[in-house]
Amino acid sequence: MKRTKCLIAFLLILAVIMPVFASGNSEKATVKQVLKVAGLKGAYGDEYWKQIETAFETAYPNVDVQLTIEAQVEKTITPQIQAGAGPDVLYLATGRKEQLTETMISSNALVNLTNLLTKKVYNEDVTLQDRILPSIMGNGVTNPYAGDDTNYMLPLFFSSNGLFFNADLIYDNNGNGTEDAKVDGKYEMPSTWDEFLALGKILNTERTTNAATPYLFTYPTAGYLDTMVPASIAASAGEATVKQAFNYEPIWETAEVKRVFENLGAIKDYILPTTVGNANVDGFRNNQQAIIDGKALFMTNGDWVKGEMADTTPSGFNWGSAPFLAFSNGGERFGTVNTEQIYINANTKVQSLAEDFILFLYSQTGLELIAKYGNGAFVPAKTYDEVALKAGMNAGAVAGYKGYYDGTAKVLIGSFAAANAEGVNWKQTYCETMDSVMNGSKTVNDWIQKLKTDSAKLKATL
Amino acid sequence: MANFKNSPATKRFIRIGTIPTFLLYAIFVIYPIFNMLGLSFVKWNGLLGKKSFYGFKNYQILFQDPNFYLAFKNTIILIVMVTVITFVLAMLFASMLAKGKMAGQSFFRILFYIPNILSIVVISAIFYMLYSADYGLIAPILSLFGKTYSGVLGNPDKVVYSVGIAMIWQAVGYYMVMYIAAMDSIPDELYESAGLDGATKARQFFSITLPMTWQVVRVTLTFFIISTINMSFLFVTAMTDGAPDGASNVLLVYMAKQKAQGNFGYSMTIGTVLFIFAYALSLIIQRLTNKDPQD
Repeated sequence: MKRTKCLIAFLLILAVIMPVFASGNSEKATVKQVLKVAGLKGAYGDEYWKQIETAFETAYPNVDVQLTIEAQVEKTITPQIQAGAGPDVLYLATGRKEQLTETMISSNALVNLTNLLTKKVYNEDVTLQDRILPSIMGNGVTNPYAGDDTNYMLPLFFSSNGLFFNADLIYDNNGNGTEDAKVDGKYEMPSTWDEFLALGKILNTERTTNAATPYLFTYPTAGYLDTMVPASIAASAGEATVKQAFNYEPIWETAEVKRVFENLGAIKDYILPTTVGNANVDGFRNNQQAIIDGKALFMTNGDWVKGEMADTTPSGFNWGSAPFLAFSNGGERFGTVNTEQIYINANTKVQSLAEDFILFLYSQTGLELIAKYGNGAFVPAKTYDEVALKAGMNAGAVAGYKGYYDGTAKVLIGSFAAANAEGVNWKQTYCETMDSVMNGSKTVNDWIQKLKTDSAKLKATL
Repeated sequence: MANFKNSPATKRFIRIGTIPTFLLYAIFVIYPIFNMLGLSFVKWNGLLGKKSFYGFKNYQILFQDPNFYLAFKNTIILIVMVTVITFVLAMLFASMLAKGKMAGQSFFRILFYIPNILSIVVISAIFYMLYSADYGLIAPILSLFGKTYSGVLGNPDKVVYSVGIAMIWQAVGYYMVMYIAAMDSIPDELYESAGLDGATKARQFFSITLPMTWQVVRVTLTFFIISTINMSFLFVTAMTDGAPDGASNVLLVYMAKQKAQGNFGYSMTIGTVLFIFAYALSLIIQRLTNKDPQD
């Protein structure tokens, strides 16, 4: 009797468990493949994701895309990842507070994307490798493992730090190397230093009849020149020279480096007069506000300024940003960029579908949807600038990014080497001296001499 | 019982009783000073890394460093300016408010003391707005005289004086209260008899009030030096952080910046020089003002 009872119990248990295994096989043919996409709902919103979901499901009828696009997306997907049911495709940058992407990297939980780069984007004869802007690839953005050039992430969006301006006051540079006149209340976007300083003259002349004309330039505090100076040295003298500068080599008196500081000094005639008085911890916001209020045209800043000044920015204000200036028409320009990455979870069960999704994003179809619904997002993909204009993105903002798309703008790599010498404050020397040059208490020559002596002291300690 | 105060047992008790305080003083005051002196002979980055003996090199570099002389000059400007102007104003207001001669006396005492209890960050914001070219009071006033004003915190010649004015505003109430207390303790008969003799108010001030409060004034002079040096760090950091381009650096700010740069030994050198300067200055002032109050 006992053995019978056991047998019956065993069969009952089997009967309960069997359907779990049986159901999968028989319904496989009619169940859709599920692709889970998770990402940040940030300044760009989530409307473009919904549009992409619809378009992708139309292009791939057997697929069900499940989106998790939230402001605090890490809270939702971290438990899913821990349970082994995480998203397949993740749009989540490094450098966030929760450091989820960094954790995925250190857990080797990213799919190697080398193969993906050789595939063609959706519906086109262009490989992903040829579609993404080469200047935004690499540099730790896409290959996070030291000493390993393999790509594990791709840059989905990028934003330029550099010159910031009101995009509605700017029209695109026509490439003829001279600063053209104001048209319809808009000024030509300068791409070279000559055009920039010429624009300053135009503004000064205009101000004699119209006192509300903006000044050319301002900066929050002189410390914000810390990317403008090396980027200008790179544009003027080449990347090899700026690398030497980063190591405090005595290159400060060569003609190409000298002209960087001479140009910075020449801004004195065109700078917003209240800049230096406000260039301190209490007043720097006033200098930033000057751009919003139309008192100055350009400032050097980073992408964070949009959020920082949000409370005092009227709705309808369109920010533009551009890399720093070139020294010859069509010459190289440098800027620094912030990127947001997209990658595939190594625990995905639908890797080829995830790859198809990424190929869809970077295709013309995907780019058009992002340009139209992405709230001003810029994708580092070739032809995106044309797509953006067609989709109605702010023309002044697109004009700012043009350098990246036509290849003349490059990303500045590197920074000054860590060194210290008694009595030397390097940031004060290469950035804050600008305050003294702007208020007339030091000349450009004084600046260059100080750079020379201080860099020699620092080089000796390297 | 007659020799209780001088008995050996009492003396021993006093000696033992002061040991705990003396220990605390030695650990928290004397030791750090000598530590600073010792570290000024060393090259170190302040965190990890080894300390390497540097001899007098830090001092050599210091005395050839133009930034040091600029910071020193600014410190001296502030000490002189803040001390003289605050002293004059505090004495003036105190002589008006002491001895209950003026109506609304306690109201004014509170009013003058309020700046002293405000946080330095608040004061720096107040003066920033005052000096601002866009929102301040100075621009419209100057435009009445037909002059334009583009901000004083960006002007390397004027920025130190602007910080000094904020420091004076903050300090006047504190010293005024001390002087009022000193003046209130002067016996009224002195003033009455001087008044009967035909002395004017001003004469009374210089012949009675000033000498009788002299001991208190001597003490506050030392306070002025120490507190100005300390407060200068707070005010400069809150208002300009040394901008523009180091023109408003004072010695403590320069010391803090050098330490942040990783030149710890060098910043200790600056600290040592500042300490010796402040100590010597206090000693000189005490000697110069040493007067018998009964003269």
